Amino acid sequence: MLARTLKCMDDEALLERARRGDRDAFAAIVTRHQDELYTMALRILGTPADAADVVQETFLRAYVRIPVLRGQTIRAWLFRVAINCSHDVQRRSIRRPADPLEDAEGNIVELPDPDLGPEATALARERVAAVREALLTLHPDFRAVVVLRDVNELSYEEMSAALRVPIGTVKSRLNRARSMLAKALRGTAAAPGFAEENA
Amino acid sequence: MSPRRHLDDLFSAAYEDELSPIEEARFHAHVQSCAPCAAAYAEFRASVEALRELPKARMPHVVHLPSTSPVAERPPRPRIGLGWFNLGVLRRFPATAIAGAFVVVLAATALLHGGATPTSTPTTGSSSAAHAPSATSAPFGAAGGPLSTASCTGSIVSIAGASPPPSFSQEDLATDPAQPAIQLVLAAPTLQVTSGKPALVYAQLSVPVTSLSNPGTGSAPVTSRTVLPCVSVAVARSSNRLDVLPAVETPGAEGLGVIDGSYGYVVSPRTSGPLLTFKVPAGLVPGTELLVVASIPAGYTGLNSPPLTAELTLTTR
Repeated sequence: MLARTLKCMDDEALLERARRGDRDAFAAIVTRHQDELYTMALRILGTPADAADVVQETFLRAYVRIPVLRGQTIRAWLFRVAINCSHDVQRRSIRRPADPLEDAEGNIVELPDPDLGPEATALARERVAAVREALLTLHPDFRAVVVLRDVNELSYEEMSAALRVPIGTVKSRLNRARSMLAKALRGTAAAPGFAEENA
Repeated sequence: MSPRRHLDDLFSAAYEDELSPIEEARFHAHVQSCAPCAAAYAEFRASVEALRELPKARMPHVVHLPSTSPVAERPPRPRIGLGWFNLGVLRRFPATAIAGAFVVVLAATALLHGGATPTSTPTTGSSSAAHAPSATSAPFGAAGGPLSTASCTGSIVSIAGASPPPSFSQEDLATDPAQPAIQLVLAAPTLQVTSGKPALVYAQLSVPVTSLSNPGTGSAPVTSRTVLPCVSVAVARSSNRLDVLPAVETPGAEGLGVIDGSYGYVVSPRTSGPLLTFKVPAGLVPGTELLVVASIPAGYTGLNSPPLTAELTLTTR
């Protein structure tokens, strides 16, 4: 009953309860945002284990900072912390290639449509792999902006708060990042006309 | 300016349907008549759509939280009252109270006879008091008083629309949630620096100020004033320890900064702009991190305003 009540509350109400010491309210915030933060970290880092570490670290930092979190949305703040943690991980570790087996073990929510034929399924997988690889070629700042917008669907206002740059900078950086991504995807399965050319 | 380049800049806005009707008409007319632009825009759209089709992922394991309450325990603030001072200390520790009074008299005498010389320099050991504005100091750190030493004076320069140079792509920004227009910006052209070479950072607090309107005009004009924040630079010598840079001067550099050896502050002269140059110590191994922190103390931009801190981590090549 309590869990259902908490599930219906918005972030601000949950945050207010958590500030008063309600651990369940904070757990509800975790449940609500952990998957989108994990998705973001996975697309930025490319490694499931590192992405999970980032999410864990993000919520631990949030837990400590709850008393002073005021005047900002918890979602944007969580993304901001997760981006900083991701950059820390990038600085610390040598880039490791993504392990497709880990993705296949239940971490991916939307698997390719089973109604697709084997060729279409293979092409879809190839597209996903191409985009993931192309993302990892971008500079971390550009990778973050394009992931926040096109993977996590944040608003410009949320992105501005998460990246701590003005909205104008968000838009110009996003345009550059998308152009770079398009360039990186040239000739891959995600490029326009690839399926027709390889049919 | 070539039309191709102009269109490149509009791709994102066109994709998001954010162009004005005039821009949109011009954009589509151009795309229809220019094959390279049409191909580039198709490529752009395809890549964004491919990115949006990436499957969502699910956190593979439970997030572990501390078993304690999320609200941090805060020690109660000690109350300092005359009753406590007069009665409690005198009654329980009369010798200590008398010795304390003697020290106060000595300190007052020292201040009267030599503490107010204008050439006094900051010394090690009083950092925390020097950083925070006094309770009676005006916003923006008015000149005079202990704050006008080399710690955190925050000189005021009236400018409008201040922002980092376009080449400063690395940026951290801190705002007062109650007054989002007040922004502390710390920026650098790159996060990579070279040991033994100068490094450049940009740091300033922009504060919108509404001045009196002219008679007969409508709303009061809003200008922007800037405060130059304290900027500290510290070098990470090991994983958990930060060593404050030793005193370094950078003569001849634009926006000359001096790192005060006591506090590690780069203190900009009152007349300088927001650009600061400091010398990265020689002999640092590649990968050494330098933490640059721009800070404005609590209460600096108004009563009850929070402290603002912006950080950048620079790494040596």
